[in-house]
Amino acid sequence: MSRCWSDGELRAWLDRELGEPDGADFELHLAKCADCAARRQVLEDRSKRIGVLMSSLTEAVPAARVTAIPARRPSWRWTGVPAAIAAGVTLAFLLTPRAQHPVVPTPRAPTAPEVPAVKPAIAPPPVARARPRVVPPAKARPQTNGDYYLALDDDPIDTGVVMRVALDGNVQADVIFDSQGRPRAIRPVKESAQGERR
Amino acid sequence: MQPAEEIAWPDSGYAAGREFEAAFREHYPRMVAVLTRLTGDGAEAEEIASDVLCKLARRPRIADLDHIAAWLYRVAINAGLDAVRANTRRRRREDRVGREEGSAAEAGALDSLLREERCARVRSVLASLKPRDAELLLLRADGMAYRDLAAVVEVQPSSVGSLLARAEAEFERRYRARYGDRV
Repeated sequence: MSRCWSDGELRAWLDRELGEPDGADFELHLAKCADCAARRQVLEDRSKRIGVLMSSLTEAVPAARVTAIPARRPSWRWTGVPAAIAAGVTLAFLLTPRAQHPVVPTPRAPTAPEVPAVKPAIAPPPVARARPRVVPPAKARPQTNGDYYLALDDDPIDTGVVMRVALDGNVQADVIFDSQGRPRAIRPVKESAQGERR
Repeated sequence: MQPAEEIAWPDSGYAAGREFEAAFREHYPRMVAVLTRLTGDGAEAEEIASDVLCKLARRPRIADLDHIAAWLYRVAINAGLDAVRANTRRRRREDRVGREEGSAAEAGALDSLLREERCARVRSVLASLKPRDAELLLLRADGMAYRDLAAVVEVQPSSVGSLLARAEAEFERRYRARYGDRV
């Protein structure tokens, strides 16, 4: 190859973003062209210096906050299984009718034993009759179904984004995603009598 | 955890909800990573990324956005640069107050202070660049490939090398002008 390369092409070559034939051509040209070799050196040195500065931004951030982004798009299939299981468990928990607290019958107050009809010389002290205790009806527990999220793992959740997602069928759920896009907690969405989901 | 804001999708927006979900899954982690690098604060980065996604959700028709990635990163990095500028101003004030009070850093914290100072300089120079240049430098530092960078800044892939080289040259020029020859 005879022509000299532009800075943009040189920069792409440094990042290995040129196609293989172009890269091979460039290396052949570089061996002969001092100007291109000098420009390549300038670009490479600058790129390294700025790379060090930019990477210092990552070093200063707490390690837990920064994770490597995988080159490939992560598969989301594995997240569907625990999410579906968690949604199923939650729905089963929510839809199972709760047993109301039974009203405990008040035990009858013990009655005085029957006294023979023989009139004693001294009248026995009157037996105090226990008044029946009135048990107030058990208060209905407030319905908390759907108010709480079910954690999908044991790690603490600091911050996240809540997003409503569609599960199988017509079921929807609010899911908390963390900063790495992982689902961390789930809450099924209930449809109220007015038809609105909440 | 209390959700900061809830987005109610209109009945006709279910398909848009799917678009949104796909955009969220694809871009949210990288948005947070880049914004964390830019602002130096993970919580602030998540907040900015969430705000940008809320803005995306409020758009009438997401499907009309042909370039969701370009829009997301542009808005996110602009918001991040705004935050850096605000933090820079705040930092100057705090430094001035610190000097007036005569506070001295302990010897053990010197390395940490120097590192923070260097990060503050990098962020300050990034904030002074054109948003597209800062966007390119940040996303490339995060390992984004040229093809994806081209989609984000909406140029041909063959132009990315030139833009990146120019952005780096401009960054270095400004850095040297502010802080001397040692980059």
